[in-house]
Amino acid sequence: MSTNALKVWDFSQQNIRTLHLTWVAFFITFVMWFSHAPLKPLIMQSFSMTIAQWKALLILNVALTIPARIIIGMLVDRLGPRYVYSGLLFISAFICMAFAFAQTYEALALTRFLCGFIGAGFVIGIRMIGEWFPARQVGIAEGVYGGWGNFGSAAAAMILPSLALLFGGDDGWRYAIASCGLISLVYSFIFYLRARNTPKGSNYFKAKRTGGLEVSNKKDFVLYLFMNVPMYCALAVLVWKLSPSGVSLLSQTGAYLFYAFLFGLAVYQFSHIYKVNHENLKHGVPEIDQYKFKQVAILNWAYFVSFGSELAVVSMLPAFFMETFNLGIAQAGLLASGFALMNLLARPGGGYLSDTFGRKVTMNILVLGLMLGYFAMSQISGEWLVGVAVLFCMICSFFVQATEGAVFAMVPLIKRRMTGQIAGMTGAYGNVGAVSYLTVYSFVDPSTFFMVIAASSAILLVMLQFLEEPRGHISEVDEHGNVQLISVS
Amino acid sequence: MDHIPSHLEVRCAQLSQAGRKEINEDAIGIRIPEGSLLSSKGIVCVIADGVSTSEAGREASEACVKNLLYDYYCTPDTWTVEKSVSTVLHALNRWLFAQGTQFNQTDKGYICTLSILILKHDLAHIFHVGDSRIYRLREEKLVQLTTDHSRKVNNTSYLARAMGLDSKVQIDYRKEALHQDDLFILSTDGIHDFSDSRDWVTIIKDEQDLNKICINLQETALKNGSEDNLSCQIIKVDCIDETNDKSFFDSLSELPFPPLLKKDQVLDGLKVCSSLHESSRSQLYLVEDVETGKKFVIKTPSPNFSDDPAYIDRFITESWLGKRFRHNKLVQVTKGRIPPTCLYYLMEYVKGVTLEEWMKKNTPCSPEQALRIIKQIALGLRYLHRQQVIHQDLKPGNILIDSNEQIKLIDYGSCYVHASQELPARQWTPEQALGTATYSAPECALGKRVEYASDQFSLAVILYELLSGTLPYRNQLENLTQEKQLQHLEYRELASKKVFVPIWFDQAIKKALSPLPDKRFGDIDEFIYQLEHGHENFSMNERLPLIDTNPIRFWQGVALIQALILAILIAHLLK
Repeated sequence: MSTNALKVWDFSQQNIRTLHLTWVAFFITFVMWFSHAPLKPLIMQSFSMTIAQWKALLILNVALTIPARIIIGMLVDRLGPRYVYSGLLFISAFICMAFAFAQTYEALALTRFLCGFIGAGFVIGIRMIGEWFPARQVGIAEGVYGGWGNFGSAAAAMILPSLALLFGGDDGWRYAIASCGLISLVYSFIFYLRARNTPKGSNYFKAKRTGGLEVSNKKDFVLYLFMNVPMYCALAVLVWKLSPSGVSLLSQTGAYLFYAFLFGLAVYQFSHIYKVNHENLKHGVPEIDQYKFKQVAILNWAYFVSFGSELAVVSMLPAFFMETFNLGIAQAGLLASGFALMNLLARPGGGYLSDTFGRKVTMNILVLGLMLGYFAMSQISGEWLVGVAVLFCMICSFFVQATEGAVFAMVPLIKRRMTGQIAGMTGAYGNVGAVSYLTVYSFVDPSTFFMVIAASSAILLVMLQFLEEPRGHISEVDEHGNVQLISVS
Repeated sequence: MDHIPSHLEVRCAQLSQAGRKEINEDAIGIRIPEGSLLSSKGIVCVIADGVSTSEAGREASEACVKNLLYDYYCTPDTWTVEKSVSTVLHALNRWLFAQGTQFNQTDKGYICTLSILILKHDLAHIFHVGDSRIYRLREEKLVQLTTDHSRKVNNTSYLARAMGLDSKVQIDYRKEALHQDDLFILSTDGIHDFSDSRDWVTIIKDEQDLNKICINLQETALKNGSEDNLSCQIIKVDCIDETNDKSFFDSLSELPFPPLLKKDQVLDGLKVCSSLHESSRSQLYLVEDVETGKKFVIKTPSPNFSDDPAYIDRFITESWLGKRFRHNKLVQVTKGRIPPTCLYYLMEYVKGVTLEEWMKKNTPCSPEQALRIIKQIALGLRYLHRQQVIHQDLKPGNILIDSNEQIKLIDYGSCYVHASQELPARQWTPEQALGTATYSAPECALGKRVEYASDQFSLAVILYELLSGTLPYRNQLENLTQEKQLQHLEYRELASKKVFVPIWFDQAIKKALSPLPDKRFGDIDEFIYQLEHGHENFSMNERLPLIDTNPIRFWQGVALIQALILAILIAHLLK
C-alpha cells in the first residue's frame, strides 16, 4: 500500500529518479541565478562601480523572469519539459559564462538582465513533477522540488565566495561563476539523456487554453485585468531605473521605446485575455466550472511578499552581513546562506502544515511570523552578536518559506483545470515582489528595507482575511472505516 | 452514453387504412423509448408498403416494421445508427428474399418498400428504399427528403429497388440536422401520388391536432381518386437537445469524486485491500465486498481533475463502455451490490501482472510465445472493432497477463466510439495528447483521424518489443509533432538486431508499422494470418525494386545516367 510518504531515496522507482533529476536541474539554475550576490565586493571592485549601479544589477537580475515565465510556460506546453529544461540549462550556461567574462559594466548589466531568463526554470519542473506523481504524492513531491531547488541560492552563497578565493586573483570570481555555467552545460546533456516527459507509454496532454486565464464573471474579469497591472508597473519601474533618471544604462529615447513596447505588450495581453473570456462572459459559466478569482489574487500577493522578499533578501544579505559585522566575504556568504538553507525543510513543511491544520489558519499564522521576523531583522545592528542575528534570520526565513509552501499547497485547489496558469501567475508575482522590494532597497538602508517588508506583510495579513477555505466534498471516515462523502457549501 | 441525457420531445400521429382495396398491405410503426435507450438509440418511425403484385406484400411489410422496431433496439449501444440499421435491414432483406424464392415467378415474393426516420439527439437519420416517402416541413417549406426508386415503363411504374427483391439491397442513407418545430411526414404512394404536396402546407399550417392532419391527408387522397392503401405518419419535434446544455454539466457533477482511499477503509460496502496502481490521472485499488468476500478492482478518478468536464466525461464513458463489452480478453466492468455514492467503477479482479512488468523478465521471447500473446490481444481488439470502437491506447501497461500466459485488456480510457459523433457537440475542448505515447500510431500522436489500423500499429509495436526487448523506430515516436517527421521514421529490421525470428515476421511487422495507415494490413486478422502463414507465400528470391531497397543508390544511378547523357551532349556540341 503506497502511503502519503514519499520514499525519497528509493532510486528503483522511476518517478523518484525523475524527481531528483528535476530538482537538481532547478538547483543549478538557482545557483547561476544568484551567483552574483555573495561575490558583491569582488565584482564591485573589478568594475569600480557605485552602490547604485550594484543595486540596479540586482533588480535587472529578476526583471526578465516575469515575462520569461510566461514564455517558458507556453514552450513547455508545446515541446514538453525535457526539451525545454535541457535547452534552458544549455542556453543559461552561456549567459552565465558571458556574465563571468564581461569586461564593461554595460556588458555586465546586459548579461545579468539575460540571467533573469534562467530564473524561469521553476515552471518547467512543476509541470514535469505533475506528470510523474499521483495525486496522493504530488504535493510533497512539488515541495521537495521547489524547496531543494531553491536551496541553490544558499549553496551559491556558501560555496562561491570560497571558490572565488580558491581560484584567487582579481579574476577568481569570474572563474567561480563560469564553473557554474560549465556544470549547467554538462547537466543539460545529462538531463536530455535521462529525463522523460511522462512515464513510459503515457500521453503528454496539451493544456486546454493558453494566453489568459478563464474567469467566471465580469467582476472577476475586471479584477484579473487589475492584477496584471503591477507586472507592467514592475517592468516600467525597471526601465525608469535604467534610464538617465537612474543609472543611465538606457538613453532617454531608449527608455521611451521600452515604455512603448511595454504598453504594446499590455494591450496585446489584454486583448488575449478578452478573447479567451468573452464567450464565457456572454453566456455565463456553468457552476461546475466556476471559481473565485479573489482567491488567486490573494495568493498572488502572498507570494509577492514571501517569495519576492526572499529573492530580494538573498540578493542583499551576504553584503549586509559583511558590512554590518565586518566579516570576510566567504564567512559572510556562509552565514547569509542560512536564510535560504531553511528552504530544505520550510517549504515542504509549509505545505504539510497547510494540509494538516487548514489552509487559512496556517496562512495567517505563517504570515504573522513572517512579519515579526522581518521586524526583528530590521533591528539588527553591529552591536548584535553575529550568532543571534543569524538565528533571527533563520527563524524569519522559516516563516517566509513556509508561507511559500502554504501558497503552493493551495494553488491547485482553486481550480484544478487551470493550476498551471494560476501557478505561473503566482510565480510571476513573486518576481514582481522581488523587483519592487529591490527597488525600495535601492533607495533606503537595510533596516528601513526590512521594515518595508514587515509593513507590506501587515497589509497582506488584512487581505488574508478575505481568503476562503477551498470548498467541495469532504470525506469522513467513521470508526468502522466507512468512507462517507459530505458536501460542504 | 447514459450520462448524456436526451431531451428530445416529439408528438406524433399515424394512420393506415385499406382505402378502396380489399386488404391493407401497408405497415406502420413508431417507437419512442425512454431513458438510456432514447439517448443511445433514439426514436424510430417506420413505414412500409407491401407490393401488391407480389404474393406476400402484406407479410413483407409487416415483418419489416415489426423486426426493425425490435431488432434495432437490440444492436450494440456503441454502434452508429447507420451501422445498426443497415445490419438489421440486410438481415431482413436476406430473409425476405429467401422466403420469396419459393415462388416461381421472379416478380413475385416478399417485397415491400421501406422508409425509416430515426430521431436521435439533434440529428434526423433517414433510410429509404422504394417509393414511399419522407417529407420535412420547416418554416412553411415542404421538402421531400427521399428519392423514389421507381421506373416508368409504358405508363406503369415499377419499383427499381425494394426490400426482398434481390439478395442484396442498396439503401439510401442521409443525415439531417434537427430544428425546433420541424415536422416530418412519412407516406405511402396511396397518399402522395393522389394529392399535390403544395396543398399539404395549407392543410398542416394551422392545424395543431396531428391526428386531424392525418385524416385530412387521407381524405384529400381519397377525393382525388386514390385506389391504393392509405398510410401516413406525422412527427413534430417540440424540443431538441441544445448543444450547450447546463443539465449535461449537472449530470457530470452529479456524483462527487471519492477521496484517496487508505487500506481498510470501506466505500459503499467495499473494503480497500491495497492500492494497485496510482498515476497522475487515476488510482486502482483492490477491494473486497464486506459481505460476500468477493474481490474486485475499483478505479477512481484522480482529484487532479475534479473540475475538468472533459476528463469526467471521458471517465464516465469509460465505465459505460466497460459495462457493454463481454469478451474473455476484455476486463469486465460490473455493478456493485450498493449503488455508488461517488464517481468510480468496479471491475472484475484479474490476477496477473501487466505485460510491461512481464516483459522486463521475459523478453526477448520466442516467436511462438510472442505470437501466442499477440493473437490473444488481437482477439480482444477484433471484438472492440466489431463494436465500432477503436482502443487507441494499446500498450503493455494496459494489458494483464497471468501465469498461464492468458491476457486481458484492462483500460478503455482512450477508446474512440464511432457513435459518439452522433451526440450533441460538447462545450469543452477535448483533451489533446501531444504525442509522447510510445505505442501510439503516428496519426494519434499527430492528432489526426484515428482508424482501426491505429490499433494494428500499436499491436505491432508490442510484438516488436516482445521479440527484441526494444522499440521500433528507437524513440522517434515519442517526439512526433509534425507530419514531415514521418519521413524520418526508419524501420530497423529485427534481423539487424541479431534477433532470430522467421524472416516473414520482419516483413509483416514492417507493414503493420507503416507510418501511413493505408499502407498497413486491411485488418488485424490479416496481420495475424501473415505472421502465421507467411512462410507459405514467402520466397527468398522476392526482389523489391531498387528504389525501395536502397533509394540513395537508385537516385545516384539516375544522376549518373543523366551525367553521362550530359557528357555525351556536351561532347557532341563541342565537336
